[in-house]
Amino acid sequence: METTIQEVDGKLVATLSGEFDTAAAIDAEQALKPLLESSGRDLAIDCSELEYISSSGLRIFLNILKNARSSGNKVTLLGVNEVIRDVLELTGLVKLFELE
Amino acid sequence: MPPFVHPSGHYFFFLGKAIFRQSKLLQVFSSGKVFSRIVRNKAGFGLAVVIFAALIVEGISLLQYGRLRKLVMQAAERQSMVELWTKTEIINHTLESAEATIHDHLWDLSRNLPYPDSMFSAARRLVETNPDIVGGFITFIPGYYPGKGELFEPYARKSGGTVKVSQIASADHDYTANPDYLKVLAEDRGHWTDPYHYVDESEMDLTTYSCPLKDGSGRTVGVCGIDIDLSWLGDTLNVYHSLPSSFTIVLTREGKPFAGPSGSRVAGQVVRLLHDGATVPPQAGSARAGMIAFRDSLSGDKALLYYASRKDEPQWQVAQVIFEKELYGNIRKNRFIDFLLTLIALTALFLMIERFARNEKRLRDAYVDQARIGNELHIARRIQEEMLPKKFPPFPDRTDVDIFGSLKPAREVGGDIFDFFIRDGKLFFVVGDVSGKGIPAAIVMAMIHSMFSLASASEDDPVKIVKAVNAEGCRNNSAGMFVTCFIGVLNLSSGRLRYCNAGHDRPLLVGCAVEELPANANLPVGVLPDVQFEGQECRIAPGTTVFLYTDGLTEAKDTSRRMFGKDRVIGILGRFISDPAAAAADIVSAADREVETFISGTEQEDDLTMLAIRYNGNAAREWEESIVLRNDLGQVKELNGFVKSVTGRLGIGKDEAARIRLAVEEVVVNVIEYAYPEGHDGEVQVDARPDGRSLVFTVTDSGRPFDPTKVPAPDTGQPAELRTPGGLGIFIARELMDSIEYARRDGKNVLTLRKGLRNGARHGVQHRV
Repeated sequence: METTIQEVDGKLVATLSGEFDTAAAIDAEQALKPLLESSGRDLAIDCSELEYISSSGLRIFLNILKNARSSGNKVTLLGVNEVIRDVLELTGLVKLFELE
Repeated sequence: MPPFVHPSGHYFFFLGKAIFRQSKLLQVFSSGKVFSRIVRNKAGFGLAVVIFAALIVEGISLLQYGRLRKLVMQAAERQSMVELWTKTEIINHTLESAEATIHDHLWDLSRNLPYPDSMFSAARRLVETNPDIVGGFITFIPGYYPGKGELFEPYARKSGGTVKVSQIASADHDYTANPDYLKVLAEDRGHWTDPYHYVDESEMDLTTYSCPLKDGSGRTVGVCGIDIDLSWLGDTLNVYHSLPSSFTIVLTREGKPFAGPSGSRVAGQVVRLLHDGATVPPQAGSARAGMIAFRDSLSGDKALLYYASRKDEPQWQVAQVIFEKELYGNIRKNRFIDFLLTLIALTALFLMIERFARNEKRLRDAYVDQARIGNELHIARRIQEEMLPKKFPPFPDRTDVDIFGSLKPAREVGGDIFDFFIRDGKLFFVVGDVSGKGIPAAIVMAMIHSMFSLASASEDDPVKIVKAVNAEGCRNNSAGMFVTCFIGVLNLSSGRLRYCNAGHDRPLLVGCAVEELPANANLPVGVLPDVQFEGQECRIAPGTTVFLYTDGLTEAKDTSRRMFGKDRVIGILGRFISDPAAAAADIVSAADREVETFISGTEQEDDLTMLAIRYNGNAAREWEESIVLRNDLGQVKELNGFVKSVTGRLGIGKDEAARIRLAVEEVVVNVIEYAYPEGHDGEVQVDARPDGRSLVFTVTDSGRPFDPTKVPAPDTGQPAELRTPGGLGIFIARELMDSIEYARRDGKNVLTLRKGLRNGARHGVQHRV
């Protein structure tokens, strides 16, 4: 999975493209460090090119969220596809994130 | 009489001639070129024939008329001669009887000569014995009777019914100076005077016959004579005439007329003619007869003059005049009628020819048109045939599907269509029926068909294909023709059938039972451009035949107008239930035979279309794929590749495959992480196989006993901060799979994940476009 991080309108945006399976999660944790350690900024994860996510990926998302909330920020998920949305709903995580 | 053709014979002859000529012309002209040239110039043709006929007819008519005239003239001549002789005879009779009277009395007179007073009664007797004699006299030679004076003429005269006798000789009436008296004495024979007009108490035309009176010794002693009244002659001769305006006159030898019809005005001219025409008066002792043609100077009419003269003295001439106008009047009238009738007949002929030529042209044009239309229909049928799949079986190398279709058009060209093709492992098929028949229906169907081909070349969703076809069908559809159709897309590896109906009959599925494929009716295409279409999908079990048809099958009518009906179709299909050997062609031909028998005796009214698709599925229905992984999270890549190939093999859709993959990944990751103790290598085997209508994954490891199904589900309602990462994976897998079962077998953990791939509409997957 490819990970790119940009700053857009004062938000930190991570763009993921590819599949966020368990194998990819190992490297993703490193790549998403800026978000995992960000503070004071709203965060966004662009999932429009994300085709797949497994529970390891969800775990990382959850950690990003926890971190952001601790500084009073929110995390927005962008362009989530149907399958990922299903999974977010299944797991109840859909309520915790902003979805666009 | 020479042969004479009755006027009606004229026409039959001429008509027959015309008909014969026409048929001959036809033979000559039926070679196209000449015929068409003449027919094109139809006015000239008709006119030429008519003029030709007219000339012939008029020629014949003239000839006939000429001959008739001659015949009539000959008849008139004969008639006139007969009349003349008859009339002459009348004159002859009168004259001869007068002569006879005198001669009869001569002997008596001669005997009584010595008695002069008996002469008076003798004279009386002369008059009395013959009604024609109006006067009788005896003139004696001067001084024959000394006692009677120099001149002695006893004279008897009819007057007012009595006979007056007297002696009329006197100094004033000196008969010795009379030329007739002198002539008789000189020639010593009887003599007739020319007729003369005598006026007394009445007016009379008289003629006198006198002859010598001799005594016993043969000495001429006087002249005896009688007067004949000829006043009646003119009228008598003119009492009868064959023709109203003709008349008879009598003339003296010298040509002086003395008797004729009252008020005859032509006499002078006739006299002149006779005079001129007969330069020589008739020879004494010979009769003469002849005919002179002349023109009436007053009226200008042509006339004929027939004349005959007496043989003996007096050689009077009887003449009869006939006007040609009257003589030929009838035949002239006939000729005129002839002419009129000929004109009518020729006009009729002309019209007949015109009509004939026009009809020929019209027939010819119609024939050409018909041929052209027939040709066009033929071509249209060829085009339509080209559009249909013709080769059966269409995919002889394929075992997963068996297709047979047939389309029997009602007329030359029909409004039904069926088509199919395979792209990317999917069978696209369509069956359609246009409202209407013939060329218009075929044209609409061709448009629809090409739109189907175009749309399905790049689009897998039958609803979208139907929508594209509908858009095309609504475009330029001023005729308002609509098309019912059914479009299906069958995934040949998975048996998954996506379909969209558009007002068509629902296909029948023949498997272990005959059932109707549940489908939305929707509207036919070509009705409204913005209408919604709803499609469905289902799974076709291998061994099932999809049977599509048009209403030409269910609505086929027999001689009693009863319909074939869907129940009959279901009955026929029922014979092929659970029949592993039933081929698509068998089903279709069985139905075809039944329909043919049903409608025998009547004409097929509507196009009859049937398409049978038997889905056999993949040849190796039973298979299993396996992969063995190390307990290393990095192996997830290999696992996911494996799951992808398995779902692809079954043609499972992208999203569904993603869910299956996620479930399998979570389970396997779980095993990788927890089955074996830390640092220990171990293997995890994943098997996949289809099982009936399900896909089954089996995850086997020989680690410590661990039942992930017992792991409690996380509380998905918890706020983020309280959410723990654990338990999520298994929870997700359990949610996504139909079932996960754990078993411990032979010292191994065996997890069986099952996902059903069901027939019928899937929950939550109503697809609207």
